[in-house]
Amino acid sequence: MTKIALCGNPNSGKTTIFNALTGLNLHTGNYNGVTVSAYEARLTNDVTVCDLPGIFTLKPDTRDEISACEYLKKSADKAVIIADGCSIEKIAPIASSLAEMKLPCAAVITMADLLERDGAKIDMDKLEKTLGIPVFISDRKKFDALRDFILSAEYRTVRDCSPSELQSCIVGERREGLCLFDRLLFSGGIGFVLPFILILPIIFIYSCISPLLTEVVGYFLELLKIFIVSRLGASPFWLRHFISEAVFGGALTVLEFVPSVVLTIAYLTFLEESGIAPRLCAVMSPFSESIGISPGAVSAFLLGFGCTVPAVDALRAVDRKSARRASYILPFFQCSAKIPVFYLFTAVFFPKNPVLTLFLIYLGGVLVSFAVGYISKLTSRSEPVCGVIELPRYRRPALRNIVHNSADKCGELTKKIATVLLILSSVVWLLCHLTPSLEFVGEDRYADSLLYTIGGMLAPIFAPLGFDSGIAAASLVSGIFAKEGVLTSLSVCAGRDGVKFIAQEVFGIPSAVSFLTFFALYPPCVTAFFAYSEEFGIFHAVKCALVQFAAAYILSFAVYRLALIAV
Amino acid sequence: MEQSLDKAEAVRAVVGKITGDENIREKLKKYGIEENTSITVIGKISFGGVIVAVDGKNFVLTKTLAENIFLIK
Repeated sequence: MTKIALCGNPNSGKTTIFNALTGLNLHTGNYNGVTVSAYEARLTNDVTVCDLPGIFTLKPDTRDEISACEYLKKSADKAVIIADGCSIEKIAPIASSLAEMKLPCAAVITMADLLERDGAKIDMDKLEKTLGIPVFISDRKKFDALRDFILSAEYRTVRDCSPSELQSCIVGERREGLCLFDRLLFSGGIGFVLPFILILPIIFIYSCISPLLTEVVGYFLELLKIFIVSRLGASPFWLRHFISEAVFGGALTVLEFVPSVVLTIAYLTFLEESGIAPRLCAVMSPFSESIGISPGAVSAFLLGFGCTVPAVDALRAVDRKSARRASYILPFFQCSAKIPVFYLFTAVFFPKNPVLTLFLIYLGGVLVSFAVGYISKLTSRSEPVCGVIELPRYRRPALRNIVHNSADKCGELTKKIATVLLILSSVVWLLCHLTPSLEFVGEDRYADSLLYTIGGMLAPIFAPLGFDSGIAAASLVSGIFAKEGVLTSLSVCAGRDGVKFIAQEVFGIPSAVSFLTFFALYPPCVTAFFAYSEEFGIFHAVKCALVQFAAAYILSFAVYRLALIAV
Repeated sequence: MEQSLDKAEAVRAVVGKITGDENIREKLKKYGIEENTSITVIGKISFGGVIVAVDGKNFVLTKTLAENIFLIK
């Protein structure tokens, strides 16, 4: 089996080439550090291609770079150097190292059309002579030809050439400078409000579009529930009750939010693909620097608005110290799994100001992350952060990638509903309907149930925060397994009364605000915990969870006391 | 005469001395910024940070990093 490695600078189009060759749909984006580990796929029966994280040299200093360099040194039989046509001289250090290793190479030039748009072009003959290897210019319309090139090119040892030699292969003058939008963004002061502007569409989705979508999906779910329960007429009462309350009333409640979560992911993909994400890193760099975190980590925070797990993976592209510090505050950027719960509490307690409430939740998370980051910097020895952020050109996002990422999230969420959330709903339903001596009890005897007993034991922990009900405590425990579990647990406990009714029964406005604060800040789900553990070790994962729990507890206590005074 | 990059206005210049430890020099070398290379300062970030163009790409250097780079005027 021949292994061909696709290597090159970050954001040079390696994954796009890999996807075109293999027909796969690996995540792409218009910023450095999207690919953080090597990914192999078969091209033919005896040829494998591998998409590697971006590198500048073969002297790595982040974990993603280490994995790329190790693959090139230990596993690759051949390498294809992917070079961004607008800056081909940047591959000189990689070419030098590959020349030293004597690894057979070929090269593919991407984004040459952007260079031509600037009025310059590449002298291909000269470039082939300079590099001493076959070179192919990639084009979206010529992917078949690219595949033939990768399979049949005459791979040779690349020539050790200097950046200036490569630069001389560009005919014409490249345009330098910033576009008007970037000038306004960075120097005109607009940059400071960019994070707030970027949050607004998410809030718009949940305050304006979501109510309609949840109602439509909810209506069809209710019809399906009536149909299925009526078909179970002769079956035991407990089974009909389980289907109605645990399956439809619990796990499937989250299905109502799938369209809104998918829209959020589509929007985040748009930010990643268009080139706005690295601009956000750049405008936030003075703030990230002030808390000792490399500005590159800001793109991981942006991913955190979708899901904490890929955001933890994205920290591989950041230097180790910054990544560890960023890991403490990452979950304070609210993931999309928390949205159904935010939506419920906003609808019940703040129906007149949904936009403001959601905005404050998101803003609060960001402010807490900076406060915790700053305290962490003060309490630990740290060296000054030295960060470099590449500003890629703006690019029209590929609809295919937006649709693919959204469909992926939709599938992931549906799978979660059918597995984790269904199990959680079933457990909560059992706890609600079994006594400690395992007798089945009806809804009217909740005080005899196991949930009441267990919740009663947990309740004192949360009593100072204003929500000492067993239901609230049990729902927070469910949230450790999956954040949507809080909603499914409350729904199962509510039974026929409906989740909005039980929310009003269990919480007043001060305790609801305190519960929301705790929910927004307490440690992420177990999947994220495992991701933490894999990236940073179990000890650091536990330390992060403790810091997040402490921050959540202290702040919800403070918020509860303030709310008591205000209401 | 040398001027630190964080104080420089928009200008095409040659990089002179780079202060700080070896890590800083290595990090900058990765992006093509080393002594005697030509760079263009193309803008600044409100609250700190400098935007430079090197080898056809634009980069933002944080304030701390820019303070370590001196341009030959």
